Amino acid sequence: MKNDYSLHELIEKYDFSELTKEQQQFVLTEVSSDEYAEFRNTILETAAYFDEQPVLMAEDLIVPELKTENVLIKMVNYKLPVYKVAAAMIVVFFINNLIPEEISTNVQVAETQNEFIIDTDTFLTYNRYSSKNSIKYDEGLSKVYY
Amino acid sequence: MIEKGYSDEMLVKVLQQDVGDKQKAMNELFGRYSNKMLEFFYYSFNRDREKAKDFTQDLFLKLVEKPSAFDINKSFKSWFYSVASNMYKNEYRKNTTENKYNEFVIHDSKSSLETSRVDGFDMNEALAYLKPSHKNSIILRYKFKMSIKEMGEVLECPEGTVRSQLFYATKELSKYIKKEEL
Repeated sequence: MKNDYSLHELIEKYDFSELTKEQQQFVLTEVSSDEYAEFRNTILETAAYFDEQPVLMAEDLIVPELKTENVLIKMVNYKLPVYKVAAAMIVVFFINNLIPEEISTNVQVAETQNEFIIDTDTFLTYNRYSSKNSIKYDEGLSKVYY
Repeated sequence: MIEKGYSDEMLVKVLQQDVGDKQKAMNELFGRYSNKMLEFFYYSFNRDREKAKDFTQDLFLKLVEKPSAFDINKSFKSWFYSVASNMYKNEYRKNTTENKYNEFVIHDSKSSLETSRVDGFDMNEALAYLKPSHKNSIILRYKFKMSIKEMGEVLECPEGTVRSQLFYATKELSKYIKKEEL
């Protein structure tokens, strides 16, 4: 019922005769005037019933005592949930595999010292000198653009 | 130092955060709510005082064991009644078979009472017939004089639903009262 909310409030607060014409019209679309009076009577009787009842006293109930535990005992008694441990281990495993190994500083230096030949307009000529085990390059007339 | 002026929420905060005198906070909350909760269970369980006492004690034990379950940004009163209401509903569900038996007994005893009843009806019996959600609505509204908004927080439903439930609960109650008047 769409308008129950206002209907119940009207029943709680007013007799049918106290309603405005508009309210009466609205009420009559939902319940008859007899039903309205019956429901109102029930509400008033219910409220009166609860008002008449003696207040119950919780005298024989006991206030729960709070245990004060030693911090050490707390730590010893602490139970670590197995699923949390397992989840943590999985996370650590994945993180370990995802992060690339650390690049050593030597390699980084070597990379920064690389020189790349972008373009040349002449061919590179070189003379080879043999001196013991080393090879020497002579640029000669070549031009190199970087 | 726990003072009388502390709000319910402040007292629960003491229980939650291990600050101040927790036992005093508990005593204060017990003083404020034990009678009310006893009455709530008493009327919910069809005036069974022993059962009401057991459930009230259990309710406070729940608070002691797990105060963290309460969200301090909400109203403690609504939350506490809500827990009590759920305890009652769970118990009702658990004992469906037993309840059916009780209904049978009530019906049986009612037929014998009807002949002896001179005036009016017995509200206790009529309330006992109501289904749990309707009974809760009636008790919260007319025993504890809660507003629709508060009831919505306790019953965990929108205000419109509360109004609707109250209407149907009244309708149902009227039916039983009418029956008993016959």
